[in-house]
Amino acid sequence: MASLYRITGIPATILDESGKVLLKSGSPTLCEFFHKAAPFTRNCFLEKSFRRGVGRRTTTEGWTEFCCDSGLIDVGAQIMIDKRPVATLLVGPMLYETPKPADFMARAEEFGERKEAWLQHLAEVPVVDPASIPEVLQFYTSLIKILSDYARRSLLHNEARDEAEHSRSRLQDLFALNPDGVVIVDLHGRLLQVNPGLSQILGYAEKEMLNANITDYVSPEYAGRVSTSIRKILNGEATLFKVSLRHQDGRKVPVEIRARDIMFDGCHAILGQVRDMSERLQSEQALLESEERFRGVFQEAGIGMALTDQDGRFVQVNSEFCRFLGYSERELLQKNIDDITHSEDRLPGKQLRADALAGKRSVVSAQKRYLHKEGSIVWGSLTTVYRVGGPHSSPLSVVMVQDITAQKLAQEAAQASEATLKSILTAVPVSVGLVRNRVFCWVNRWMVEELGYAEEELIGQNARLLYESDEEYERIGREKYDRVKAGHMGEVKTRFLCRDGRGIDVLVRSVPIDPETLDAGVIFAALNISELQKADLELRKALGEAETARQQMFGILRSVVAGLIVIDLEGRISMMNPSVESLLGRKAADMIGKPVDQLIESREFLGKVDLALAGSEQPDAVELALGKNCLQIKVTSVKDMQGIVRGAVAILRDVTREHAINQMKDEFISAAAHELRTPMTSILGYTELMLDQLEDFETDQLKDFLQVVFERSLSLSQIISDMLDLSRVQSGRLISLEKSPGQLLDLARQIVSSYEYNNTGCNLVIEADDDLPMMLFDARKMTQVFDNLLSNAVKFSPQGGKITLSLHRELPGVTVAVKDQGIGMSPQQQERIFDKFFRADYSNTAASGLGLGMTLVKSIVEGHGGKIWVESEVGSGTSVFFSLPIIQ
Amino acid sequence: MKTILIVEDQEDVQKLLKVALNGSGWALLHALDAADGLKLARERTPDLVLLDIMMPGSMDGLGLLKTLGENPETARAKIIVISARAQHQDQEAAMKAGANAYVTKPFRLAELKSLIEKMLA
Repeated sequence: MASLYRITGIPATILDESGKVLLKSGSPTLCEFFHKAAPFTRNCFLEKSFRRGVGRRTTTEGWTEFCCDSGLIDVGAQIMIDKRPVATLLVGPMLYETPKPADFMARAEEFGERKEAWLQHLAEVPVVDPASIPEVLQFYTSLIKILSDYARRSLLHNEARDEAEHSRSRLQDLFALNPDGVVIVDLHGRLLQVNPGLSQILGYAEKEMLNANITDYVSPEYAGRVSTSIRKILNGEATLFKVSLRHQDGRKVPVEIRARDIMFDGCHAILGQVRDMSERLQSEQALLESEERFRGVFQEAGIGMALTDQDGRFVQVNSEFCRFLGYSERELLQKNIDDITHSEDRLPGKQLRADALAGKRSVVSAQKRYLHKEGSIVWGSLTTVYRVGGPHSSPLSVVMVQDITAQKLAQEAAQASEATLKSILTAVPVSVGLVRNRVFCWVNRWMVEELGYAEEELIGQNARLLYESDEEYERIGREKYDRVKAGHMGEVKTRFLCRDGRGIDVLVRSVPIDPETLDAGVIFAALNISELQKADLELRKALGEAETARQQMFGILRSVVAGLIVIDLEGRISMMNPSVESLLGRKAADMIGKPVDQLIESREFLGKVDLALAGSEQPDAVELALGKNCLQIKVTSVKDMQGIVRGAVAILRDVTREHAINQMKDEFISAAAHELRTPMTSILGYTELMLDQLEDFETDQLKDFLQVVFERSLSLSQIISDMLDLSRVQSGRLISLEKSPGQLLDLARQIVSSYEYNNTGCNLVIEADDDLPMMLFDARKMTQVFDNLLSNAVKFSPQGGKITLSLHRELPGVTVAVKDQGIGMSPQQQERIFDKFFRADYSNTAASGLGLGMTLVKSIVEGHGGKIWVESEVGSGTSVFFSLPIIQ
Repeated sequence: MKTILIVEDQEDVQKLLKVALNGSGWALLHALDAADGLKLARERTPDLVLLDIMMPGSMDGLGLLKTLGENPETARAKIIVISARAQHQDQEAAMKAGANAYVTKPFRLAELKSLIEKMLA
């Protein structure tokens, strides 16, 4: 400033904020001389309290021009650094033009100054071109700013230096108390002073270290850096550098050293503050890791995460957040959170943000709609943590969003289905409602209409209202709720009372809304079953009738003599009656459901079954030989009302007997022909003989011939008569009898004598009670009876065999028996003895006969009101008995 | 002279044949059953046998017919079966057993005679 003054001649003064003069150039007395006030305080300057009147004007350049009454001019400017006033610069006193000495002297007189002194001082006052003033001011201002910047930097970078400059003792304290290491070294690096902090860091005692060189404690690789730093310090730069020191135990200690030059004991020295960075590095490392972790969490968290600034702009987003909204990270970072928020949800969001910024809240959870890039709406469940970050960084918000679109859609669907359900329940023609603790909470429209109660008359009411009695109410509660509690559907039948007192039968089903507890309520549905019950009753009746009819039908089928097999469409036996069981010797129980070919194997029969099941009519019967028996089977289709084939039925008939009869008929025809031809041979032969050779024979001879012809004609006549009788019996009419009273014994004797006369070769004996009654009978027919029985006895008896004819009085009349000792008969033969055309022995062709004899005998006996039977044993003989009642 | 054996159990038919065939130049032999007939056939080796089928005894007409055919002495005899059995199968059985002719009863005497004459010619 002194140099500048010498060049420019313009004095200048710099005052600090408290008004102290910091720097001054030019005559130290000049100002005081003219202004009569020293020192010239800032306050005076600002408060224009010049002792003498001072004109003042503020220029457009921002400085103020003061014009003293003496004509001297000062220019002042406030020096602002970072908009803060740090000092006041005053330039002057000066004159813009050389004053006229006369005027100047006049003023001196006015102020009471000595004229010589004024003039002497005036000579020192420079005359300055006003145009150069701004440049001078600019120069000073810049200079001050440079100095101030330097000072400020020094201030910021090393508080310790200020302390040291201000107070040595404080420095000492700092030395002792500073947790960091503090060291003062001379310009060669020799340690002049160390504190316990450094001793701590390096593991050496303070005394040990004094006078040692700093390089002894620096890791060799950092030696260069230390010397460089010292050079910098000597150039007046404060420096901060990082090196590793060697601990006494050999390990390296990373440190940060702040150093600057100081005056120590009147010499230049360097003050270093040594900070052990081990822990800090560790914590920085930890911080780094934690940040890494956070980034990992941020990116990999299954939820969308975003950081936003206080205006809602995205600062960082993770991939899930991008996926959720369909934007790329780059796209999102150019957007504001409102850009991707559904318009209806924007306002609440802004409000929340504003509240958060105002400190009213820090964490908010909500669900809101976002706009997906594709234009669709996606739902997110979000948690926003507002104002995170340290006090130094601008606050951010963390937004965590979970995509709940699917849940929302499901929820909407559920709501829709709930609405559907409710409308169904309203529309359904069944009473439906919800009860909680047996109190109606909700009932549907049908229930209201069916029971005649208004909805409000039911809601809130106990269900007891609908029951006829307390007992019934209790019963329903017991039965239904027991089942409901057991986790089943409660189902009971009861009766509901309508509002008009009418009762309706209902079937009530109940399920709990929550199976775990009944507290949530129980849903019930009550179906009106009055009509159903009526229908059920009728159905039961109809079923009963159908069952009776079925039983009847079944009974009929069972009792039918013919065998019946019902065959289903698959050819299985669905029913067979007992006749089939006895005919085929198989149990129905074993055969029902089995294929019919397991019962009857005949191909012919099975073919008929197949045809019948195909609907074809089968008029021809199948005949089947089954051992000695013969079955005739007729198969027909079973068709329903519509004519559709439902199965087939086989009707089995035992035709063994018919077959035997047919065979007997054949035999009869043959025998009848023989019996007729034999007499005819004689009749025809003799008459031919007589006609041809009448004159060749004597009268006696001719008479013999005619006698033969006559007898044979009689036997023909008898045969014809027998056959007529038989056909009469066969057609259900009785033989015509010409009864007259008489003794049977007489008739018997007559016949036996004729047999004896004919010399049959048998021993015929008559046994008779004495008191045989008179009987009423047809003598001719009865003769035929005796004749038949005796001739049979003779026919089957050996030569000289005994034949006994007995007549005994036995109530109610007489019993006649013809006993022989002949070949006898088997039980089968006995059974058939009275059948038409039955002949006991076909092999003996001579034992001729039509096989009608015994049939006629039976008819004649029965025609008389009597009975006939046989007792016989093969090889022992046969007895034929008949009894005749006495008819009055 | 040709010999004819008549085997017939019914006496009036036996008698009828005897009367009718008498005087025709044949010797007539009579048997009332098969056993008797076989005996006579062996003894007299007739040229022709008139044989009834249905006869009493252990052997009937068919039995005799077969026996005669099996016996060389009697095998040459012509046999006319005269039977009341008119069924076709009866006739067949007889022819199979060796009969030369089968005549059913009742028969015409004239026809029987001409049949015998033809057989013995």
